[in-house]
Amino acid sequence: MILPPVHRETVSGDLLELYRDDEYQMRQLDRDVWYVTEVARLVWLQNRLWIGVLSISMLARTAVDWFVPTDDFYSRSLWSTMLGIGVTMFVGFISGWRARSVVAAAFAAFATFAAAASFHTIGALVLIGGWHGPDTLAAIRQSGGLAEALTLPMMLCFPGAALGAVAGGVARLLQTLKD
Amino acid sequence: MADVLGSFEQAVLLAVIRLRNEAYGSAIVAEIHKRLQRDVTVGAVHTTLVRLENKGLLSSHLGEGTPIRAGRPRRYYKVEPKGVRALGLARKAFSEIWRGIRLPIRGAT
Repeated sequence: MILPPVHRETVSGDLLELYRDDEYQMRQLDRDVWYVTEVARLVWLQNRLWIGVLSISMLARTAVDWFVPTDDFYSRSLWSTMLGIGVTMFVGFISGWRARSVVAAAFAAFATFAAAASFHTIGALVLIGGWHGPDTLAAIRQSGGLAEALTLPMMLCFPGAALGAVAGGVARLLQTLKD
Repeated sequence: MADVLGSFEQAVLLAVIRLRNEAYGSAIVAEIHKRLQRDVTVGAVHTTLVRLENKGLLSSHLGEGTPIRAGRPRRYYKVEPKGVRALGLARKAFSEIWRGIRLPIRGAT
């Protein structure tokens, strides 16, 4: 789905052939795990740069909120939201253009956001594991609490997918006009 | 040295040469897996094949589908003369890097 039409059938055929190959695979469970891992790796290879940018920006925002407390979160929210929207729409546009599909754009945006949110959660847990003094805990409470910091990025996957679909739709429209 | 192929690119090109007329995605994955004795992902091989084809080192054409692939076509790859030259350059470059070094290296464990 995320691949260009010229490679979509051949790569999915390769995956299917290896999935069914008795010499390459062993038990049914191994086959299923292998297949899911292969698809996840393919998504990672296609979007790793943007997953990196998004997860670093999320983690930077969390770190700034926790270690440089403020009463005014407006400007921080503004840049982190704009960056998140920008990256998600860019991923949606590129994926929609490359795969010629709005669904692929939404999926790529969702997968990018979900992966970035997962990395952010791990990073945030590492941060609080290393630095959990009274000042930091107070700053965490002031910025919305630990639960919000860990769950909000995950909850944004669905709006991210919607934004990706919009950008993918624009890409498809431009392609139609170009053709 | 800027254009010398990486080790994985060399493995992919050499697998295509070894497989001759049967050099398509999953066969290339299985061949590299067999030679390197490590897990190789379809995504990594596909990305490398596309990159090498964009550089003009490989060319490809579509074949017919088979039942094991649910009728999906195979994309067969062929190494172009530019690819053979790049492999030669890579081998020469790595030979130069290794020149004068004997294994096992004294003092190393």
